[in-house]
Amino acid sequence: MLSIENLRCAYGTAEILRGIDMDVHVGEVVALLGRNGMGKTSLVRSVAGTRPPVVSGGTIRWAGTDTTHAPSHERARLGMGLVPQGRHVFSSLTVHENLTVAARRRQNGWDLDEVYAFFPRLQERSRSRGRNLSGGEQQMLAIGRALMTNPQLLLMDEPSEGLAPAVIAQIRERIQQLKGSDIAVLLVEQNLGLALSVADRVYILGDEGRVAWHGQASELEADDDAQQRLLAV
Amino acid sequence: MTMEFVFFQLLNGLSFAGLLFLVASGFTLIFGLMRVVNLAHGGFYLVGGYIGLTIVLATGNIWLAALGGALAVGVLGVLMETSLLRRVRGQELPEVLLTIGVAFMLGDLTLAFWGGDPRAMPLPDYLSGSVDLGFIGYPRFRVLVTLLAVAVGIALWLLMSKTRVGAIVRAGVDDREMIAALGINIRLVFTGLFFFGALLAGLSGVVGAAFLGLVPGESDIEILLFALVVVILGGLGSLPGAAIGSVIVGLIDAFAKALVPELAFFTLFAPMAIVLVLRPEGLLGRRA
Ligand SMILES: Nc1ncnc2c1ncn2[C@@H]1O[C@H](COP(=O)(O)OP(=O)(O)O)[C@@H](O)[C@H]1O
Ligand SMILES: [Mg+2]
Repeated sequence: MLSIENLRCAYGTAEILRGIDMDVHVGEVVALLGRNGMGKTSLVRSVAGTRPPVVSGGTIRWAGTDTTHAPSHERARLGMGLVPQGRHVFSSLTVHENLTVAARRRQNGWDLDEVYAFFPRLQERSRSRGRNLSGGEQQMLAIGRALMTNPQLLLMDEPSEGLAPAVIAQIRERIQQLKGSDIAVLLVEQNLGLALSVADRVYILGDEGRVAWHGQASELEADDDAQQRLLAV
Repeated sequence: MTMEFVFFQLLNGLSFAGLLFLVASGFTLIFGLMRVVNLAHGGFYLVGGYIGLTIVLATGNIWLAALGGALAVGVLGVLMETSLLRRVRGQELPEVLLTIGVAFMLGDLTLAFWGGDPRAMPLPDYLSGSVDLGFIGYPRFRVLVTLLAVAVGIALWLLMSKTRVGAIVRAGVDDREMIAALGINIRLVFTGLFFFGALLAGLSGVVGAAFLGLVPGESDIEILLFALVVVILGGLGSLPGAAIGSVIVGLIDAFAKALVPELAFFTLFAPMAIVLVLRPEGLLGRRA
C-alpha cells in the first residue's frame, strides 16, 4: 500500500503541495485529478523521488518502508514504476532497448514477450528508435518500459495527453487489464471520462495545494457540483 | 611533393590520430553522460605517462607500465569524482573551475615528483625500429599505436552499442532522471564512467610518453588542447565524432607541420572555428 501523510513539497521557496493525505491499495486504480498547475505532477514526482520538487514535510510510505527521502532508484527497486508526463522514452535507444535496459525479472511477472503481447504495435516497431515513434507508440513504450521493471505501484502521469481517441481507447483497455492484477495504479488525468471509466477512487487537488475532494469514482460521476467547481475549465 | 612524402605524412597523421583518439575517447565519454568538461584530462594523461615511465624504469616491462598507468589514473579519477565533482554536480561553472584546479595541481605535483626535465619512455626492441611497408619504412611503434586505437575504438563501440551497460549509459545521456526512476543507480554509473574515462587518459599517457615524450607543464596542456579541438570538431559526447575528429586533426597536424610549420596553430584552430560557425554541435554531435 502507498500511504501519503501530510505531504508538502516545494520548488525553491514556492510551496506547491501543502499537506496531502492519500492512500493507494494494491489491486485498485486511484485517479488523481485537478486543473492544470494544481500540483498533480509534483505529487507524482515526490512519490517517485525525482527532483525537483523537494519534499518539505510529511511522509510517503510504500510497502512498509518510509521512502520519503529515498533516492528514486531505490524506490524503483521497491516496486514503483513511473510513466512520466511527456513519456520520456529514451530517444536514441530502440524500442527493444528501451524495454530491456532497466528490466527486472520477477517470477510470473512481465517480460519482453508479455509486453509485446500487451502492445503488439511495439513489437512491430522494435527496431525503431524512440525519437521516431508516434505519440501513441511512445506512450505504449513508456507504459511497457515501466511494466518491464515489474512494478507493484504504477504511477501514470497523464497517459492520454495529446493522443488520438482510438489510442486513448486502447490505453483505457490496457489500464483495465492491469486492474485486478496485484498492482496498485495511481493515474493522473485531465481526461475525466477516461479516469472515471477505470478508477475505483478519485482524489482531486484544489488550488490550495490540498486534496479538495475525494471519494468513489461513482460518487464523482454523480456530483456535478464538484465537477464544475474543481475540474471545469 | 613526392608520393613518399604524402604517404609518410599520411602515416604520421594517422598514428597521431591514434594517440588523439585514445585521449579524446575518454574525454568525450565522460562529457556525453555527465556533461562535465573535464579539463583535468590532460593532467590525467601526464600522470599516467609518468607512472608508466616509473614502472618501466623499475621493471623494464612496458605492458605492466600501461596497466599500472591506466589503473592508477582510473583510481585518481574516481577519487576526483567522488570527493570533489559530486559535490558540485550540475553546476557548470564550479564544475569546470574544479577540473581546472585539479589540472593545475596535477601539473605541479608531477613537476615536484618527477622534475622539470623532458623525459621519454624507452621502448623494448620489439616495439621500436621500423617496419617495411613496401616502398617506405615506418616506425613500428607508431603503426602499433594506430592499431591500438582502432582496437580500442571497436571495443568501445561494441561496449556502448551491444551491452546492457552501454545501453544504460546511452539511456542516461538521453534522460538521466528517467533511467534513475527505472531503478538504475546513476551515481554509480557516473563514477564507473569516470573511472573508465580516466583509465583511458592514463593509458594514452603511457602511449604518449613513448610517442611524444613528457614535458612537465606542457604535455598535459598541449594534449588537452588537441583533445578539445578533436571533440569540438567531431561533436562533444560522440564516440564516432571523436574518431573522425582525431583523424582530421591528426592529418592536418602532420601536413601543416611539414609544409607550413609557422602556421601550426592557425591550421589547427581554423577548421574548428569553421565547424563551430557552420555546425555548432560538431560534425557528428547532437543538437542540444
Ligand atoms: N520545475 C519547476 N520549477 C518551479 N515551479 C514549477 C516547476 N514545475 C512545476 N512548477 C509549478 O508547480 C505548480 C504545479 O505544477 P504541476 O505539478 O506540474 O501541476 P499539474 O501536473 O497539476 O499540472 C505549477 O504552478 C507550476 O508552475
Ligand atoms: Mg502535470
